[in-house]
Amino acid sequence: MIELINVTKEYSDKIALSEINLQVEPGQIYGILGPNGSGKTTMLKLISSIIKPTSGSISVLGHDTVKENNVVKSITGYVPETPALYESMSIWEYLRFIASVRKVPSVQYEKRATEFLKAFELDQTSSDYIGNLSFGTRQKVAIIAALIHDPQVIVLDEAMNGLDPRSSKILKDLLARIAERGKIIIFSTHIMEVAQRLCTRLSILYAGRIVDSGTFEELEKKHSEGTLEDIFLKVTGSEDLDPTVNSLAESMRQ
Amino acid sequence: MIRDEFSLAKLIIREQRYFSLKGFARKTLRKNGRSLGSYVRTNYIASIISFSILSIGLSGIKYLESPTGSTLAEVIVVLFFYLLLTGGYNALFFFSQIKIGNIAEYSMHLPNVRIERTLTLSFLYYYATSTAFVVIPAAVGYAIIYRDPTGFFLIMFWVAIYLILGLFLGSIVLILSGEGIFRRKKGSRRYLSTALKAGFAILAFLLFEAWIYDPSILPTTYFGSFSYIGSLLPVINVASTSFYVHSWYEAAAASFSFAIYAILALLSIRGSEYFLLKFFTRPGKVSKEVTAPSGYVHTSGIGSSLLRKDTAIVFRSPQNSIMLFFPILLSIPVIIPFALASNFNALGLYYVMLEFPVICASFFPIIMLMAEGKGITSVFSLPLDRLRFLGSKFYLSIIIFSVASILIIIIVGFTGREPLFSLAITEISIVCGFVYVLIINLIRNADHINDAVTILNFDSFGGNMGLMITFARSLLLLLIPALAVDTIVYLRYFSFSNSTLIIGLDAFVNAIIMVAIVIYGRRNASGRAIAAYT
Repeated sequence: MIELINVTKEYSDKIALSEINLQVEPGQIYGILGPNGSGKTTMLKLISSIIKPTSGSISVLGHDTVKENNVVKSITGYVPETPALYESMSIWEYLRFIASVRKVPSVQYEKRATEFLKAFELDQTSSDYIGNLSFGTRQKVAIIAALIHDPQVIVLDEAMNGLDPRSSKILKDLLARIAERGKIIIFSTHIMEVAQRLCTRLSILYAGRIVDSGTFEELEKKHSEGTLEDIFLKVTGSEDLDPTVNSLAESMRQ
Repeated sequence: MIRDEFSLAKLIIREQRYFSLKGFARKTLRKNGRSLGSYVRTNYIASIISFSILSIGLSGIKYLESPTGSTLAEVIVVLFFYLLLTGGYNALFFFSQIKIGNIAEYSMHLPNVRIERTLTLSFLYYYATSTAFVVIPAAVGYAIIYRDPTGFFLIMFWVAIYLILGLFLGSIVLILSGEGIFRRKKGSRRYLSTALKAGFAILAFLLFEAWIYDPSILPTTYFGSFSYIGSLLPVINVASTSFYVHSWYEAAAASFSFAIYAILALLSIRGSEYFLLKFFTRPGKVSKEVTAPSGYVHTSGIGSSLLRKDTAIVFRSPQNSIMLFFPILLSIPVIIPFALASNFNALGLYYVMLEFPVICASFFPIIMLMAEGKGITSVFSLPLDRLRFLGSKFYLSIIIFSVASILIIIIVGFTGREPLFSLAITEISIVCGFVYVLIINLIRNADHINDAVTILNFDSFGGNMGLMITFARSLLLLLIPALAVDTIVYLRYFSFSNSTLIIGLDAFVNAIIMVAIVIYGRRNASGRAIAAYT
């Protein structure tokens, strides 16, 4: 289980997250939604033990993210918002480096890497330097790197960005299958259809606070809205966007 | 149009600085209550100071070494070439950062703006202004000492030309290295190509250095006196056409040189623009090579994986490779002449050799860390502590330093002036000194990395000011123990005559300090996160 208790994260100039309480159970696919700058990336980095909370505590499968940060990193696979990788390494070299650091046995690594590269159609370009790859291809490499050690917890920060439909479909189906094995998946996205279809539970973040959470059905019932997009806009106070659009259209005509 | 381009050029400089500092500097800037502008100005001053020190050092050594009639001309030629090399180096560095940060990307679609012109202006504004401040005092000094006001303008003219040629050189290296770096060749072709490139670069630098030591060893040198043939070869005739003009035909020949160079500079600007446009607009090349060779996929130990990763990110990036070898190559012209001078004993040689660990231990930690680039964020999510992360950089630095320092010792050993025993002690001593200064500098620089960092580069560690501070720290850390030993020996024997004993004691003290610092370094870095938490 992942548990956040009264977690606050402050940067020098602003509060990114305030008094967050959250529980994610094994087997759940947990979606974090929110407008830009609402604190989604900060929350996912906190869970992955990349950053430290200003106050409060986070435990991942019973391990404190501050005191046992290397243990948390060992059992977690993290896909960052932007696939920042070593550009002068080839795909193979990069994956081998990640697998070595994560102590994946050679036999397992070879099998998994081969399968992943084939599935994401990277087997023909696995010797290319990452610096030459498109954004979407780098994203695929970042995803493989996060999954290569078969982590207990998978944290994905807008991981679907830049993926072609085939890879996106593979990833979504794979995540569902992984969750069936009792693993925890937590991810942020702006694609409401994906969140609605894939997530077993959702939280909506707004200005560093969780403004609502529950299953889609619970949220649908509570807000009497038919789609997750409508629920999201309502909860974040953005439901009536017509005046804004009209004003923009008018200013462009002038 | 040119006004817009110039405004954009200034903006690009600011963006380049901001890009370097964002994330990393947010905290530092706030803490010190300084603005980005203030940070940029501080670094600007630091670059002027460092350039001045290097120029004065280089010219001073040359001048003291052989104060003949042609020395001034030689010094000027050396400085101009130094300017050319650093111009190329800075251009490579500046444009690489702009490319990595996609800084020019946003300006490419703007109407009435030629991005290649804007980038050229940006570099000239960025680099020329800082150089001008360095050169003007020297030129004024020359004009007063030699009562030659015309010389002032001539120096400035040549400086402008060499700056532009430096830009051209940098843009060519940029295009060549950019083409090569992300393209893999198969098997032996790949190694042959790398060996040829490395061989060519080393040969070119050796020729340059040989020329600095003794211009007469190259057949086409006409520094000290006027020569008709030399005047028709402007490349090797800068000084004689600038400072040794006494008659109308010499003036005519000098004018001819100027004209040739001016045309060359104008063509260089156009050439640089062409190469820059190509560099900034071309897509990445995709290799056709398929699948990894068998046995390639096996994972290995964490230490060796990190070492392999560090080797790849340092040596496959032309920017990082050049940054790594540039200080080594620049320090050799100072070390070798002194090391080979007959009036030095073992102790003198030791002090000359100390410069090498000072320079390497200052540059290496910064280069090793900045080579991480954007990849640093992927390291943050891995179960690695700081000891592992810095450990591979430490070992790689030691390997490079040991190879380079042993080569220098072998060169010195060929003179047969010093016995093998004292050379071995000197080598051991400087390696021990390098190790402990390296550890301290690695830890100090790693302290700059915080978890908000999204990229590491030269400015992440304080830019030129950071480098100067690191350099000063390294100098003190190596010099203080050596001076302390010397003082104690002198107070005991009232003499420095037993230099072997003194360097032996220096080596012993350095070894003890090294052991103590290694233990401290392990304790400091073990179990700690790679980045400091914000």
